[in-house]
Amino acid sequence: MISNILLYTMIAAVISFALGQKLKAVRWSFSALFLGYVGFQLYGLYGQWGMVETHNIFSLGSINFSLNFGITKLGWFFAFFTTIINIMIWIFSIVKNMNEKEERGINFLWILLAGSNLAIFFSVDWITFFIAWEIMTWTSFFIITPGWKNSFKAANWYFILSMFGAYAMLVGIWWLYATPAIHTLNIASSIALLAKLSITAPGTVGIIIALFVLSFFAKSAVFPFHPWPAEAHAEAPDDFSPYLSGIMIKYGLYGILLFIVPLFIQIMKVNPNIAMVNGIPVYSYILAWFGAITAVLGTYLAIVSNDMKKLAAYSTVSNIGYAVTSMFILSSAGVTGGLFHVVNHAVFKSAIFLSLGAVKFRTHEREMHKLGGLATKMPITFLTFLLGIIAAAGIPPLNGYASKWIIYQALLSGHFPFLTTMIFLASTGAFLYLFRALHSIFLGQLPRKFNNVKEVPFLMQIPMILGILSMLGIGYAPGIVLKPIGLAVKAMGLTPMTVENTLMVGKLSSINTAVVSSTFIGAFFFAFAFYLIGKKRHHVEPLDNYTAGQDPEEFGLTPELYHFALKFYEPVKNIFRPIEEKLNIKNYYRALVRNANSFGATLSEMFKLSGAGSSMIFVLGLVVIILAGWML
Amino acid sequence: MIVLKFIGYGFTAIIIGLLFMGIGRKYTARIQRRYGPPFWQAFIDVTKLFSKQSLSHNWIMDFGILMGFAGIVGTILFMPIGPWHFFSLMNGNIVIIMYFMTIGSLGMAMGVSASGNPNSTIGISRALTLMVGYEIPFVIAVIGLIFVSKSSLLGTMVSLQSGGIMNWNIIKYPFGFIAVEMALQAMLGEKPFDVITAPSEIASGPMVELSGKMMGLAFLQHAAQIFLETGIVVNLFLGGANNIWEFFLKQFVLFILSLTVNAISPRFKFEDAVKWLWTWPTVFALIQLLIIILT
Repeated sequence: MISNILLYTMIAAVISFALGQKLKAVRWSFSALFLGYVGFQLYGLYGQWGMVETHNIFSLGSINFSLNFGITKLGWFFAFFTTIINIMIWIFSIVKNMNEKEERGINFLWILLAGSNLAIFFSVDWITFFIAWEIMTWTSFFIITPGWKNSFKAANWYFILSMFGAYAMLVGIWWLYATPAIHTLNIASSIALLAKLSITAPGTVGIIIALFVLSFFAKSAVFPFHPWPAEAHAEAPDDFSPYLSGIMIKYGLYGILLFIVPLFIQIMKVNPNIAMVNGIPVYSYILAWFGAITAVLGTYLAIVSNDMKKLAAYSTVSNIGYAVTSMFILSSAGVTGGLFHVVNHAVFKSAIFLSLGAVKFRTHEREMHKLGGLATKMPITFLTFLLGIIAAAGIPPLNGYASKWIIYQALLSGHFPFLTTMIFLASTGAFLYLFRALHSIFLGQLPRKFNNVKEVPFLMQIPMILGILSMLGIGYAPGIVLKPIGLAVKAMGLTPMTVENTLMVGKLSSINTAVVSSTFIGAFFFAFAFYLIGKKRHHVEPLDNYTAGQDPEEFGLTPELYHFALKFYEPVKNIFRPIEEKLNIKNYYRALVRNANSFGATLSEMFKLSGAGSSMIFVLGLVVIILAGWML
Repeated sequence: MIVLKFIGYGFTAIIIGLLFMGIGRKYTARIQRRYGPPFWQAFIDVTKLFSKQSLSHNWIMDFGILMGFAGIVGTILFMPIGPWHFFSLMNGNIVIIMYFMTIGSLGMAMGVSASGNPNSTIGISRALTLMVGYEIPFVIAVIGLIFVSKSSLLGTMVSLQSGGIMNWNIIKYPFGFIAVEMALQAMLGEKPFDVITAPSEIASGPMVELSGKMMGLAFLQHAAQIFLETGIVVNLFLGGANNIWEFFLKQFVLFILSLTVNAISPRFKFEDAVKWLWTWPTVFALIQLLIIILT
């Protein structure tokens, strides 16, 4: 069943590629429809937990190379939600790609990417997982760099960090298999065996965990791998950014939930003499701090960036930080909150990126200070962005607050005051950059060159409206998502939180989301009653107001002059400048690149110089390889 | 019934807030040896504003101002006012209160920045940055209280403080109270933290483009905000109240304290305000948190 779906995906990719250059709309509509079919099939797979499919590829001696797919609760959950979001994005792509040149190749790769997306979530052994992971990395790299042009340099960040992560994982898998006490590639049984091994050989287990954590952190852009999303998102095609941010960056979190978190829970159960902090293992606590640092750092970088797509990308990094912190609390509320935040973030961040894509589709501008006042010109886009940022800031009654509330429950009931403060700092800071984006793009003064900007076509509005509806829906009744999450949490060996459709019960307090939503509506009506008092409001053009009715042109007054958007948070930057100058991780990466370049230049000079030089390199390389082989 | 209760809550907040504002003006005037306006001046102002013609630049401006007022009124419903409480399940859920309150800030920010005046936007950029400044000490202090009362409900915290002044959190956790009181000064936007409105610098900042009933709504929002913010501190540290009049009195004491500081302080430079909030109150809050964790 699963392999059939994957096979159809490949066929669909080829069919879609075979469609001619002129059939752009047909190609993307076909892709969206096909994915709708996949989503329907996935829906049918709900409940068939534990089903496993094995496909032998070839045998070498006693080792069988096979691809194994199976349905786990966590995997199904991720597969289903990502597919739905992907359908939304492809509806947007239909119109967006009407005038694009490179869309044919992008579409081909993207369908393959959607297939590898499913393969990652359904693989039950590490080799299948790794193959799917690699396909995902490669296809996404070529989607980010359409035509190897200006975006190549940006995508390099993504590619090199991804490659680093992938190789870390490969070494981890090899180590797992080479350890005699484990000697299995099955994911579920490797968790149980590793947990047992942690009593006798904590060092080996530690190294394996570290390798996998590096890999997952690199993919999810957790500190110190946080620079890549900003670079990659900014240059990626506008309809691919929501996918990158909504879905792809979550693979690392999926890996953590699939392997690291259950492993920690198992270790806590079987290994009594492990070092603990507040009831969780020390290394889990340290990893939670990595999440908190990511959250704060992402927030700060978002506050100081002026490129709207970079801002949204750093906001993604920051949200990943919340989820990571919450997951490593290892309590039921922690894992539920992390997982729920992943879903919520996928929903609101795709909505935000879709609206930014819509803005760029009409204005072709990415720098925020060059935009402004678009709200009245593009009302649906504005509304999507507004509700998106309300959700992202965790303000009721949209979906973001439900998961943030669970995260705070987890942190506070687990007695982590400093982690809570860090998360709260990041969350309040989120308000700063989100509002800045809202102001600079949609509010303030409308530059004269955008006087004729129109709302995007209706087909592009559909996914945005769907985004609005799902944000409101999940905010009103979080139980819809929390119930399947409960199943996945239960499979990890934790007691799921008590939830009903509109009720969330926590240890410190409980909330009824329906009541919160109706309070908001009620308060709005209360305010509206006041608004109706007195005379009707009078409309005045902004510039007329400043010049008391005289011709603004005479004063040399232009809307652009009155748009306060550049250097919006200069004081914040001033406060943090001393720290930023000392601790800029990007500079470390740049230094690494410089050293690698000079090393490469030395080698190539030696090679070019003479036959003796090149043969020396050859001999040296041989020695290194032999030494490495001998030592391992 | 529930609608009437809703309206009752809203009007109580507005009336008490406006009364505080009026008395506050009189009080400040007397400190500065002026005669000052009558204590009902705030009511006169609001009535006058609602009867004037109001200018607006676009629908987002109206919508934002409405949302700002609605956000604060909605938050007040979550706060226990003496014996009154609106929801029994969420009787003062502090996480919800803190996030619901931001609807007010967001609405106000959206409304005034839609007006397009750079002065108002500068005011908003200051307001948001200052928010990061005061929320950190406030949250650290609140986390400590949540740990000791094992609940994030203000209602539970109040009932734990019942039975005499010695049970009040202000006596039990004085450093936390100092931190929150300092943060409250910034929350209310009084001196030395009045960088947001700063009349002599940025022409009243956020309010610069508002007129008529828009200004009236902003005025009401400010009144409700005074009521809300002092009310939260009363619930957190002053043991709530047995009847509403006691509650209002405690709020009034906090408000007068803040006005006294306001009347005798100069204004902080913007960066310095944030830095100050991240040093002194934060240090007090951290001391309190450490005491709570270690005992």
